[in-house]
Amino acid sequence: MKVPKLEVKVIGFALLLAVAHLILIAFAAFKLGISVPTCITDENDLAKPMFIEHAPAHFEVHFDAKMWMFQPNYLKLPTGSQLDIFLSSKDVLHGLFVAGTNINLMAIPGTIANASHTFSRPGRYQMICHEFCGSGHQNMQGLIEVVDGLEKAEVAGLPGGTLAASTQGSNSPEEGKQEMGDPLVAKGKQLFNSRGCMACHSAGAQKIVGPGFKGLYGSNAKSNDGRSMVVDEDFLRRKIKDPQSFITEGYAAGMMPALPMNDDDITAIVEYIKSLK
Amino acid sequence: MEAIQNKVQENLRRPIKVLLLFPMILLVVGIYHGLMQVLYRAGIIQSASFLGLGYYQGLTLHGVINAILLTTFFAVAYGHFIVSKLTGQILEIGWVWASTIFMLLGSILAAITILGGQSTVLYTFYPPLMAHPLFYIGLTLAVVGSWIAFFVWIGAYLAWRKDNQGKKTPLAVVGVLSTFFIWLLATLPVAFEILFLLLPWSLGLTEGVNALLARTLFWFFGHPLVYFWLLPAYTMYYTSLPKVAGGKLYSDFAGRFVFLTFCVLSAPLGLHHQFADGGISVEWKGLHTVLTSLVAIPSIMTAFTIAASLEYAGRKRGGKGLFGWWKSLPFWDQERWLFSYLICGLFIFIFGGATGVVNASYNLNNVVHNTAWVPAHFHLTVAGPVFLAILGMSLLMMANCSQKRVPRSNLVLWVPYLWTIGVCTMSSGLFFGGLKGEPRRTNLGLTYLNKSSELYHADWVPSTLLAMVGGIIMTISMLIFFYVFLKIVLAQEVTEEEPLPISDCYHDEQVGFVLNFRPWVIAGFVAVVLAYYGPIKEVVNSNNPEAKGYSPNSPIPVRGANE
Repeated sequence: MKVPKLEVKVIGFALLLAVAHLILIAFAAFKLGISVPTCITDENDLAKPMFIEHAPAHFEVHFDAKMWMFQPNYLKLPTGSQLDIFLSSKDVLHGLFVAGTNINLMAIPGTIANASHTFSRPGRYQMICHEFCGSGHQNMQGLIEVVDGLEKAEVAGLPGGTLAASTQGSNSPEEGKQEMGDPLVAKGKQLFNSRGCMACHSAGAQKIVGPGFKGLYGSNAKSNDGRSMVVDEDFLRRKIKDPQSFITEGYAAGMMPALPMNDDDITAIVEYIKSLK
Repeated sequence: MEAIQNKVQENLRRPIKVLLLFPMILLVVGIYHGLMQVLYRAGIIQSASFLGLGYYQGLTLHGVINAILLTTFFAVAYGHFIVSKLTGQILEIGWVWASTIFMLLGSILAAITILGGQSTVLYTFYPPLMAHPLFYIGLTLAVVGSWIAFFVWIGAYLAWRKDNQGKKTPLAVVGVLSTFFIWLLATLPVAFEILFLLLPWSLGLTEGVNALLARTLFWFFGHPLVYFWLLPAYTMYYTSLPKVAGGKLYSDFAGRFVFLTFCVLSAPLGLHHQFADGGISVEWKGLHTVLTSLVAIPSIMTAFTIAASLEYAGRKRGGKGLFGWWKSLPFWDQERWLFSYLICGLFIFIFGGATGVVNASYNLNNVVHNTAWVPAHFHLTVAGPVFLAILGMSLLMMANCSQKRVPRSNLVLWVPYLWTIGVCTMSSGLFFGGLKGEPRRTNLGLTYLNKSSELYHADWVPSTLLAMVGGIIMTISMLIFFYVFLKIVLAQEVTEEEPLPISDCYHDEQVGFVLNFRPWVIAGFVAVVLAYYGPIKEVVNSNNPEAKGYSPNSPIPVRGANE
């Protein structure tokens, strides 16, 4: 016996819906140019953290996602800029979502995810890691600031501070929001929050991944090879610049990454740690 | 179709009861952390853990228990029940127990490593986050246990066919066998992922894994998994709902056609979970988008058939007018209590299905991928129709297999209605939050919803509060459910058995091509090969397989630090 007539009509109707759905998707993909990442592997420079200015309003950024920060993690762009993003990861899975845009990517070790976006409106666009990547996941973020009439784009959080822009204090995401008191401490606090320190260290006394900063200054530190040192300015400076020079007892080597910071930044961070008594 | 029912095989009752009771005990933990989660997310709890259970650890339990263990245990119990009742064949009790013990043992192993904090990898267990080897072994044992049950039913089914040549297989049996064919198809890739990639790697036998290959194999499993969740509910919609509504199934053909179509269409479309991944070409993502859209066929067919069946029931009960029949359905009839569980699930599923179309729409997915939108969607499917069908049928089977009755009281009816209000409220919060960029799987209470944090996001306050209100209502509904369930467990035996409603058919044509599994099963295998051969080849060839394992608590690898 044949398929009942009404049921045949239902199948036809469903197919019609499916085709209409696909036409709309194709329209968005080919006419509006809204796409998803394609196959790019990491055997090239795209996996190296980088910020490139192709033209006054055309930039390229390579975000390296790692537990628990993006490198770089701060961009300041002029309104109307096109930004080509390449995202990679060297440890676990991460995600990158920039609220208010179509930038929504997965960072998977061994692959590069790509998206392109034109920031036609000024504003603060928060970058959020949206794939579970361990205990510091909720701290993993960054910021893209888009402002009118910006002369020179800025970037912060690149390893080694390779770009001049990243070495200037003026790239503060919290600029204009600085608190009363010592401006150096305020800058240190802002760096602490924006450069990923807070993913592992709290401003209180409790340990997250690394030790809390409250009361750290002036305390005694013991290394796993038996050295004992007072946590003073020199100690903190060295620990930030060359974390492997002193491995505190109870912590593994390599846990603290060498962070992209210049001497001025380090001074500010040290002042901030000193202020947390 | 005549509804011939046998009594459940005497010695099958105990394993069924074990399969129902065990996940209910786990579910207490699963529901508890569901509640905790909305509290963390709304910023009520602002710490990494609460009462000794970490946020992400609890989230792992919530996912593994609610989405994997409960659903699988239930599906196996339901399968035993349906196959025994509707074919009358004797199920090999030794193998039934072997299956049950494998599942229990596996679940306990996995649960212990999660509770011990060694497997905080969420239910998707994406590497390079590494779990304890026993977590992977436990999940494998549980899956193997469910396979054994399936093989027992295949034997019983073939024996039934021999004795009943020329007869149509009871529709519910077609539903159960389709469910488990999909399960087999789905679990083969994940078994490969676990046994050949993750387990040796977590034991330290291999250095690294191909993280994208593991993720691709996971979603090769993960999407048919949702149909494995859904099909027992579909089976109830087609075979039990029309009866408790007071009518008949509108079309027997539709039921068979839908189950068999799912055997082909449920697996070859998992890449729609990976639109945001690099390392897979847009052509493959596009192909899976096209295949996904074909799911419209069984979905629309079901919407049509169930609506027609309900209309028939409504009119038979004296309903008049174009839509007036709706009002005469037995929403608050204690005698027809199962109706409320099934109809509430269907109502929720309207929104679950519609929002799923958004996720599957290739580039539109950019707006919602990994935001709170996604759990909002799947709570309207797996925590909607699937969960309510599981709750209702668990009450029925528990009572039936222990010679008891489900209490005829409004308390039983309140569960699904409260749950519906709760889950719709919670999901509304998550939908709004997701559209405003609120991430899923994130302890928002520590940073984004914490006023003392620099990352505080005032935008997400209303949405997370709304989700919290919904979560609290869901918890209240579950407290009532646990009370009712316990009441049945502790009740006195009665002589009258809790009946399984099985519908007759209004249209009962013999349509040859839906009477035989074989062509559909072959088509199912062919479809996955066609859809996955290319992407997997690409992922294997193009991706670096050397990702080292990480614990969630440290940025250096578990073994062999970088460089």
